[in-house]
Amino acid sequence: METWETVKTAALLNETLIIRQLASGLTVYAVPKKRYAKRQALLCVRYGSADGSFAADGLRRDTPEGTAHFLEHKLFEEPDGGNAFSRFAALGVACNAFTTLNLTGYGFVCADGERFEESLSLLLSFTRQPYFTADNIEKERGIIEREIDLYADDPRQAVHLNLLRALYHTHPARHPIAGTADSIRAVTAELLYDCYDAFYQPANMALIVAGDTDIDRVCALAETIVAAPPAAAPPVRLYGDEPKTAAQTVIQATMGVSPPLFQLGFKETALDGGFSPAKKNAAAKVLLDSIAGDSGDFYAEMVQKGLIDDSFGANYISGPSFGVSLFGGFSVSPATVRDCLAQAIRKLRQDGIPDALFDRIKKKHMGSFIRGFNALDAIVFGQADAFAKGTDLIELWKGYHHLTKGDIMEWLCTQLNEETAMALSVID
Amino acid sequence: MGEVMAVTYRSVTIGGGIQLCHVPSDKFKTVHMALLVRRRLSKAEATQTALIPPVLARGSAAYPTLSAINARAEALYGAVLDCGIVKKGEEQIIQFYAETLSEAVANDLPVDGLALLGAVALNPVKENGGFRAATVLGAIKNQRRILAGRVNNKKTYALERLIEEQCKNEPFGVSADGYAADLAAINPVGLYAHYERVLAEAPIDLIVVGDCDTDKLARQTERLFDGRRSAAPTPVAEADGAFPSVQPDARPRVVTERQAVAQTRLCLGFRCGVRPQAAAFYALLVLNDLLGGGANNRLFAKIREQESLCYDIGSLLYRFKSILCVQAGIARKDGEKVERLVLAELDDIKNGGLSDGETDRAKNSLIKEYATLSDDPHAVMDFYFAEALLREQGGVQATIEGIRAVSKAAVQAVAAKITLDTVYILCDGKEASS
Repeated sequence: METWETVKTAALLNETLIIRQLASGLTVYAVPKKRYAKRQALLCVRYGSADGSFAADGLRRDTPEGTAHFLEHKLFEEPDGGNAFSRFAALGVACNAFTTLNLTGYGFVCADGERFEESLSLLLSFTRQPYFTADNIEKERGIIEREIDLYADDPRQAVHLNLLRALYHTHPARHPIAGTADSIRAVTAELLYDCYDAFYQPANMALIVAGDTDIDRVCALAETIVAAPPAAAPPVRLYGDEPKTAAQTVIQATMGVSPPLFQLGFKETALDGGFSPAKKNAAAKVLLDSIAGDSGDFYAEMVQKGLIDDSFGANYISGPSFGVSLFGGFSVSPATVRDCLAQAIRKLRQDGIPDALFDRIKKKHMGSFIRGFNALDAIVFGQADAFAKGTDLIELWKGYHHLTKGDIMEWLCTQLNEETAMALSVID
Repeated sequence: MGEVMAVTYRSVTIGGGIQLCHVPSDKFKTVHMALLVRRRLSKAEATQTALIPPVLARGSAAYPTLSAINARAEALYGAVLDCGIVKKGEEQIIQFYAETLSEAVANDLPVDGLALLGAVALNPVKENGGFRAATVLGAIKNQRRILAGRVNNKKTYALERLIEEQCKNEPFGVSADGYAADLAAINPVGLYAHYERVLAEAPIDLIVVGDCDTDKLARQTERLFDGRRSAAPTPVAEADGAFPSVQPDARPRVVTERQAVAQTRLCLGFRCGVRPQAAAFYALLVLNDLLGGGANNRLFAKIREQESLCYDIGSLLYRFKSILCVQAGIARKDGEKVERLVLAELDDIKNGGLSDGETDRAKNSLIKEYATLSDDPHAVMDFYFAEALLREQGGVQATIEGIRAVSKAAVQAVAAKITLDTVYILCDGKEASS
């Protein structure tokens, strides 16, 4: 595969992002932070819980819910019965992993400069050596069942998962990331090997490092350990044909929460002509704050009426095939908040957004983005999220920096469809 | 080992008996400030004190509404301004925190974080000799919801309940967020009088991390507090009996609470009997790391990886109360087995089962965390916050030396003093299957 390098910087941000594509197809991202003592590395795979259905070698696979997450757990297993956690611990290095809708990540933080390359070698090599057996899968089932139970007792997890179920008819975003006790019973070693072979290809992966690292050394190690694969066609992800409308408008469950916890969501419909991922990210988030941020009239009115409190907030989540704008918090009457919010959105579409409000909210997001660069973990996880979206940190910054009021009005006029693409999830 | 990043700091007592600790750093894009107003925890006062930060956040003379203060913060490139309560040992601490972009970064918009803190902490909107009534009502309503919502996060709820039960008759068992039953009695005039008294008498620490001038900070702080402080602020003394001993062969008290939960939360409360300033504290820190606090600890390796009995399990240390807690999310039927396995690990350590490698790995991991503290402004603030509470000024280097000096025998000795005195179980209401 072609190799290339690009070095990106941005005015005001005063940071550098070096991007290199290696012959194997692996992309390396490095953010130099010369005065930091720690070094952090994260290896990401574009494979998450939303990739349950795919086609590889001409064959369609429909995998059980929770497969990507199960694979993440089991990749730490080693043929001698040990595991990679212990090997990192022996190096004095903390290691962790996660699975989201679109991404699996494995990473470490190294406080000892001398151990960084050893740790990086370990990270790159253990993730190239899958070892799945019926026995080690059976052993893990108990652990994952406990993890599923942990989430089952969390109203915040429940309200969010239910919202995705209400918005999406069939899209896999509506599946729990860890699966269910039933679905994980169908996970086998053969299944995990098939998914590993399909998705854990270097061209589908990124290595992200931050701190005082030597990118030439990092790339040399990656080139040695992550070999170029045989020319395999990338898997075709099958998300299904999702209608633009919400599947149901209200979904409710009881968990003994008082006042009720709610999440109101708007399903994203693809824009004709499309915003770039970076512009979309900035437009969506700045718009949400402009509508319902805690310095605005809507928020003040809702607080004054006793309908929301300081638990109320908004967020935007997205992946290659989905996007949701969310508002949520605790409320004695979530349905009333929904109706007031829908009205506020209609009014904003009609009247426009005041310049002063837009300027302030844009400044807030720019400041928050800049502050993220204080911390190595915010940098690596931020770049991982950007990789999942098909972009990078500098482009995300430019998305905010160059954002205009016209951009968010255009987003507002094509999104947040309160008539047909909105759903309310309530846990009481 | 790589080079230790030196953390230099200045600690000085300024006018009004306020302790200022400034850690100069131009490494970050931000300046961080925490103003800490310290009170001894007591049931009689806890709710009133807990209400002070949300009342002040909702109405200062310069920013009379929440919208106004939030709008101001947004315009300052999203400055963070947070007023809340922190519990450390037997202290209830009102914390006013500001995080602003440094002048080098936001050179078009110089931000005075201390002025922002002062505006919110020291100049509330007043009405009829007290706080504004509507503001107090709003804060009470919010607090009621926060207290009722504790139960929604089962993991933190179980830990809080363990401490409430374990320290029933000690200040540490008091809730730093107050009590719902006390809210009805709160009134704007009484609350304002309490606020003025606390401001006058409480020990106050100001911790600043970032690129500022120490002397300028000191003078500005003195001006802000001028006339508000009594001549001799009351120090927060350690309570008698803060570190009660437990008979080693006494049976632990078991408290079971039932709710509709999918997962049982098991919490084990141990008394360690080690004062926070004692040299033996470092041995306890190492013990906590290798038992259940650090990477690949004993509890993780044995109870999760080997026995597959849980997903989350760990230990944490309340330094200022010398209590160690082990917590785990388990299936109900495995409660006794998990408790037995935890005690078996501790017994193994008490009986000389620690290896040199295990002790050294825990020490090295802790030393490296402290040696690289300077990477994270929040970690720096937390460190100097703890130093202020301990009335110590050894800095990061003294902590590193203390950990380095810990021997395997010292860890074994401190483990021998640890005693389980309370078990708290949160499980579902159905009858136990075993």
